Amino acid sequence: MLKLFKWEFKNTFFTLKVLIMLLAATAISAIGLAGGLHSKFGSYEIFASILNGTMDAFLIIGAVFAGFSISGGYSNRFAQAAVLSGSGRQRFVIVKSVSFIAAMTLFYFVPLALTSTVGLIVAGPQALPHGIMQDIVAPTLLNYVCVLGMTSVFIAMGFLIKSQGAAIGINIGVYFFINVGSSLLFAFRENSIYWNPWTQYYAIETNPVSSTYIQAIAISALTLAVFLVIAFGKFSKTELK
Amino acid sequence: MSDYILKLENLTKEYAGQRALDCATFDVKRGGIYGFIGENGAGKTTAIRVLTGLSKATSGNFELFGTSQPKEIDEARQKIGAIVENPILYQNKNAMNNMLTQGLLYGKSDRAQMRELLEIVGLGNTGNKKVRNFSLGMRQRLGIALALVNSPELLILDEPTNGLDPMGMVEMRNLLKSLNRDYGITILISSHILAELYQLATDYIIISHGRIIEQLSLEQLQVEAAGRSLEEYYIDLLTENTNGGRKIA
Repeated sequence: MLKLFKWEFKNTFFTLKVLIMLLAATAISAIGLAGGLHSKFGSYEIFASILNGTMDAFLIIGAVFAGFSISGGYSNRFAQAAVLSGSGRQRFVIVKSVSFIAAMTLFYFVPLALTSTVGLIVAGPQALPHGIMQDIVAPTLLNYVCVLGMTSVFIAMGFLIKSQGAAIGINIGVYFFINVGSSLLFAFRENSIYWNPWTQYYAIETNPVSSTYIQAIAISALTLAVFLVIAFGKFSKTELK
Repeated sequence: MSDYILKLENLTKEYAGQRALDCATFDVKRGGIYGFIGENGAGKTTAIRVLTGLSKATSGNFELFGTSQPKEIDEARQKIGAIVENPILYQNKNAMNNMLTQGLLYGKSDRAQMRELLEIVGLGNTGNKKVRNFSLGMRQRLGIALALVNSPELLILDEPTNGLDPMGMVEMRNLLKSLNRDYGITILISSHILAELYQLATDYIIISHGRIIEQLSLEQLQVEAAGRSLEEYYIDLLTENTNGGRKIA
């Protein structure tokens, strides 16, 4: 499996696409920073503005990157190469999913670290009401888990759709559909934010207590697991051309 | 160690109710060059795709390097090198970087070994030329070099001479003969260019409409053909079998 990881990571991370995605994520995150600075917010509000910007970027970038990385595995025939090498389909799904999650981790933390550092330097870290751990590190990690759960739908879509272009288009459609669907659901049932996998970070913002955090982590992890099972179910049977 | 590298038993593959492979039964012994002959759509590629794991059989089974267990078959596939339809190439890399990237899949990183493989297939002097600028013949030869990265015991090639000019076909034939003779690699090669296979193969597996209609050695073929060319023998065989294939035990 280690060989497959090395091969996959080389094919994924040593590409211009990752750099472009990273720059795009950083640019969108910087918009949040600029908004916060322009409004002369304090450190905490600036960070909140950056976090919101980064999360929006994260979902769109996840939709696009799953097309390049996972569906692209069919069209550039890397999936076929892995299977021909005797690595096994199950291992390929695991390695591809880990690689996608690793890339998404990069797209989340790097822009956030860069823009937050600039924001804190400008506004001053002393302005954080509860300290850096509670105001920055904890929400960053909690939101990371939530958005990973949200983007896991793109892992399954990536394995379901064999065309790179179609996957990118459909994933963006799915992103908007989920957004609109979640808003409508919320309009009819307000408490849906507590069990809808795509609104867990709103749940955390609305009711920031330990039980909400635990529930958000559990729902996100379960969502990730469900979509990984769907991805494996699809890939184990798919015809590789 | 068994003489047989590969044994198929009643292997069937259906697509939407249509049988692309119909109870295929044949075997491949160590050390031979097996010509897998059939018309377009006969089921050659389907059989190869099932053997290499790109497709799942609907029913039947096969034994690869002595195992038929699904998990062990994946391990056994590490002893196979294959080109199915077209070689899988990294278009924006040169030949050496293609080899090194492919090597990662098998834990091979020895540049000298990669260079030697490129020399064997006649691509030792391509330098930094990107694969996207390679000719069809060069791509096919690079595909074979990539298929050799894991030092396979069995090389499965699906119509590797498709699109090659006469000189390219001769070079390919000489290359495959040398891989078999000098490195002991067993080769299963599919083609519908019978004259080409006749100069290369030691054994023949003939497939038509998804059914194996004959498996025989070169010597048996020469006796059975009784002076006819391989093309004539093949056409006569197909005519004999138009009302249903003959299964080879």
